Amino acid sequence: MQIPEQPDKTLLMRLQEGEARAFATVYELYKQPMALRLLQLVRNEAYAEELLQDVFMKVWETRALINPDLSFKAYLYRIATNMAFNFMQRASKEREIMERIIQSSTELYEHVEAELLNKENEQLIARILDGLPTQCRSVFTAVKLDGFSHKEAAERFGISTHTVNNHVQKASKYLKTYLTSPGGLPFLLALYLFS
Amino acid sequence: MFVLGVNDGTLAAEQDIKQLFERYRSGQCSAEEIVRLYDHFGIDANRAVLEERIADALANTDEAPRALVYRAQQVADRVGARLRERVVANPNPPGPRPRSLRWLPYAAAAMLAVAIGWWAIGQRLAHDGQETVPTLAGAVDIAPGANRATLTLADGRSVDLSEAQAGIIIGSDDITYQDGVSLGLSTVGAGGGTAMEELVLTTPNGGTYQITLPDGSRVWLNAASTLKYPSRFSADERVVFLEGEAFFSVTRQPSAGGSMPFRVVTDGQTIEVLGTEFNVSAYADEVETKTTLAEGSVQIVNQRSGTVNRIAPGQQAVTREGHTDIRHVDVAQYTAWKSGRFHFNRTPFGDMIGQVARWYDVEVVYRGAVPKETFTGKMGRDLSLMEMLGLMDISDAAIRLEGRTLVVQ
Repeated sequence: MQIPEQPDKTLLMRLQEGEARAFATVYELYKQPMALRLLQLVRNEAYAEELLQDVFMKVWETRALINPDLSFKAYLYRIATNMAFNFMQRASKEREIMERIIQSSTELYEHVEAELLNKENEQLIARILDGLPTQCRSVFTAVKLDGFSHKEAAERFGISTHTVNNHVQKASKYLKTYLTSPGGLPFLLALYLFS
Repeated sequence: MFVLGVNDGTLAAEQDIKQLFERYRSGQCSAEEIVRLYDHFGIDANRAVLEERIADALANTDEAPRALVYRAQQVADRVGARLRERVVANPNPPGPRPRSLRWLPYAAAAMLAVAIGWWAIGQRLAHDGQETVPTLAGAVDIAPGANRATLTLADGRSVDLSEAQAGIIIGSDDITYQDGVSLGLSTVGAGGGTAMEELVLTTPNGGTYQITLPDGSRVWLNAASTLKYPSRFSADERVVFLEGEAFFSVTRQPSAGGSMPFRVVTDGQTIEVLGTEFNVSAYADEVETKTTLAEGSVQIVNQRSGTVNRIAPGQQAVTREGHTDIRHVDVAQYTAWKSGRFHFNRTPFGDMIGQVARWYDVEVVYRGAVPKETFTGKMGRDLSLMEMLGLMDISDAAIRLEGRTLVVQ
């Protein structure tokens, strides 16, 4: 994952002048790498959110100090490093924070699969499972997204419940491997419904 | 709090930090190890080493597990929403002097790409012709297709049908638009009286039209398609000929022997039904003929081999030369066009671009291999070509519009 080196100079000048739209664009540029690394660092979703918000609020509040001729990436990452250090130092002294981090550190990947298996993520799931045979994919989707029982799915697809079981297991394993292996997520088409 | 011997800012502490930090970042630390790592933060002498580790971790560009990437996306989206609120609510907080009060709503730019997408939709033009229209950026765009078709009578006369109308009705003694207004054709040519004449309804690229046949069955004709049908059906069967794509909603007609069959003859398949809804795609420039069943039951005869298959709702019969395959499909994907939508679901690039080319009346030229990507998503067919392509996430292929030619590189 690449981190943009330097936003366009006019963009930085607009940010410096307090244009919120420029701020939004800068956030769009850096949000994904920054969110990912903060999450990996503090190993807790809620704390990563707090930190990410604080880092960018700091950028907004100190925007007048931004020099468009100097490295914005260095500026941003210096702010983030300071804030992350301060947070971790605070965590080392506050038992409650420590306990939450210990708890979430090992659970960070758990539940992602369960959360993903939701009707509204149908497109994402479809693209992730693209490499599987059609029937395996359809059966898995029917069971996991549409809520068909194994028996109902068996009737619908004209196969045995044993085969349904195999398909579901195979696709589950595929999804798990996919999620735990390094890489990017597929981009989706913008979804617009006209009815 | 302190672990003996390692928290004193020495080389030993530095090594302990480096080693623990790596394991911690990849989620391999035990609870005790996490506490030990954090304990290092309590010693001032460790600050430089810890900050260096943090800076390295933040600037890391290695690929992370996808589950973490997914989580990070959600974190970034939620924070984006909160930043928007805070910045809109308090655009100029006290602080180092902002030099200007120039202000534009953050909301409009929160997600740039999406905003542009919505802009495109908001800017939908009142397309009434298929001329090229200039966009704001100065580039040339192409309007979407519309209600366009030509009706050819048995005597060779042809009539361009009104674009203000969506369909025609073949009555027993007149041909009218759907709102009842007569096309004003003489009864003989229009198929009135007792003569059985062949009529032809043709849509161009970028055209679609509906027709109600003499038996009340309705047909939606997609772009670049031709339907041949008689002005009156015979007493024992109903037969129409199709090249291109159409959706049929066939009414059941009682007859002496039960129900009167309705046949759609294409180059690859003959589809025989009694009363049902189905979509047929039989373009001459595509190797496969596909019939997708929405309701009821249809029988498919392979024109080459003569093999007969019966399909159930949710199934599709795909004929390629002498072979017919039956598969389960998402029917909505194949009938969305008649409701004015593109619906792609893991659709190969070639199929996707074929639909686009027919609807926008453009030619597709490949300057390299056909991209291997598949496409998933739905969008309105009333978008202009550039709006539509802008919403597609075509990452492997660069598409350029030159006149009415889409160049795929």
